[in-house]
Amino acid sequence: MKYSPQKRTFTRSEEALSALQERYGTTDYSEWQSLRREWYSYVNYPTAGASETLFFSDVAGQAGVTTQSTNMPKANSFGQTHFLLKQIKMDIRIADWMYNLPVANDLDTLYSDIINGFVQDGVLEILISGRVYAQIPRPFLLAPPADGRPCVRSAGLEGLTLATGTPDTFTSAVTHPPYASLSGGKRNSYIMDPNILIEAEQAFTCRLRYGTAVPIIATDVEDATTNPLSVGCIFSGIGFRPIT
Amino acid sequence: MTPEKNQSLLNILAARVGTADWSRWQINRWQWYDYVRYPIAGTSALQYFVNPLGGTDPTSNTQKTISQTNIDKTRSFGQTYFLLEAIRTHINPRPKPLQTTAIAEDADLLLSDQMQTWSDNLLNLMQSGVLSVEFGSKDYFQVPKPFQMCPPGFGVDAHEHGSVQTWGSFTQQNPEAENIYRVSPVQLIEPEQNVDVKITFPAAVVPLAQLTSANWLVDIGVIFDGYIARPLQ
Repeated sequence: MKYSPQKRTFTRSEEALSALQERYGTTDYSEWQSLRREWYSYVNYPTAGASETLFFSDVAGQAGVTTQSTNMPKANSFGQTHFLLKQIKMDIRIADWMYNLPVANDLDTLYSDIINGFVQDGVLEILISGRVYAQIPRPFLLAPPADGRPCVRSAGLEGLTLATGTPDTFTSAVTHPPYASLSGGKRNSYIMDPNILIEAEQAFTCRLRYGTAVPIIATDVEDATTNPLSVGCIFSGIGFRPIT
Repeated sequence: MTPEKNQSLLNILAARVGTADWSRWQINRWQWYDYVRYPIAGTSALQYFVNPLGGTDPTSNTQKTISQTNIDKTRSFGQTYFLLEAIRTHINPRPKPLQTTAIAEDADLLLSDQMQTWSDNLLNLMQSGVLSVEFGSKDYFQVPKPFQMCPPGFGVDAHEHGSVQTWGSFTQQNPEAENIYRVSPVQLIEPEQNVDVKITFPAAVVPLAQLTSANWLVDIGVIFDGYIARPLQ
């Protein structure tokens, strides 16, 4: 049967676009699919610290940025999808924790940075179209990953020094390496309640701020080039996208 | 022009060329927070929400940054409504790199017997104090032992403490979110309402012992967690 398109007169470009989309488009904007979605962004935390660190401004695929770092399709925007922000998680990541190396002082373990370093300071700010929507103090603590953290258990002493005497005198003990992590467990989640809807193409800024930059303590572990430390921000929620 | 006409004109201008729509309000989760420096010799009272962002901390004599507070006005949350849902206190030793030189440069401070002093200082503080919260000069909350009754409900998981000397420990306030001080029924704080928050130490001041023979810099914060209502823009 011969195809005979209905004759229509387009007086507005929007009408024309709509008709073309209906007939030849790859996306049906009248029907939307919702799904659980994590948008994440990990960026290097400089050894000297920084007064401001921006998240979600890098795009997967650009030079040196892989999906290990981010899944953003566009800088500072979720592109052609809507996103309902339900939870915020802050995280840190390092390739080599160096747990198996001897710990002689604070420089040898990330434990130092976790219990008394940059983790214990700072503010996370989220601005949407320039308006502040969140200002979270101590974000690594108040908005922790709240996930399934590894459990580390050690036992006994690594070294014990006695001074000769009658009886011998206990002088010092060296334990196994210390270990601490950001808080796990869903009960500690930072819930964005009420949720925030970030519309398609809406520009937003997410930044970690410090009044004074906090340098990394564990400089024997962290290395700016071979073993850099990253800080991450994860937006967890529901994504909405048109059916294709 | 009469006051009624003035008001009417103002309404028309606000609706047409204003920067905020006062007829529609937006609600978000929000924290108002204020950290103040704890004097090493102790104090009879710590005052909160007095020195805004850019003001001067009375103990450290340094400018308050975004790390210390997010209030813009003294004793007020400005032109916003705030629904107070939880109160947290936070004993926050400053990060080691920002401490005084002797502490910052002590190579094994966090693994040494100095951590016993850290723990002792925090445990002593946590036995003390009364949190008082007043709105419009009327008392609303009076909480004993606020560092335990109103813990931060956040912290780190310190699975294994390490030591290179005979003693080692690590102490923080209770980090479990389920233990925070919930305000029930919730408390509404209206725009420009006068807010007076303090932690007093009425029985005796609680001094902090030095670490590595140097003064230890500790900030103590009060965090109001709840919901902010702002006009749409």
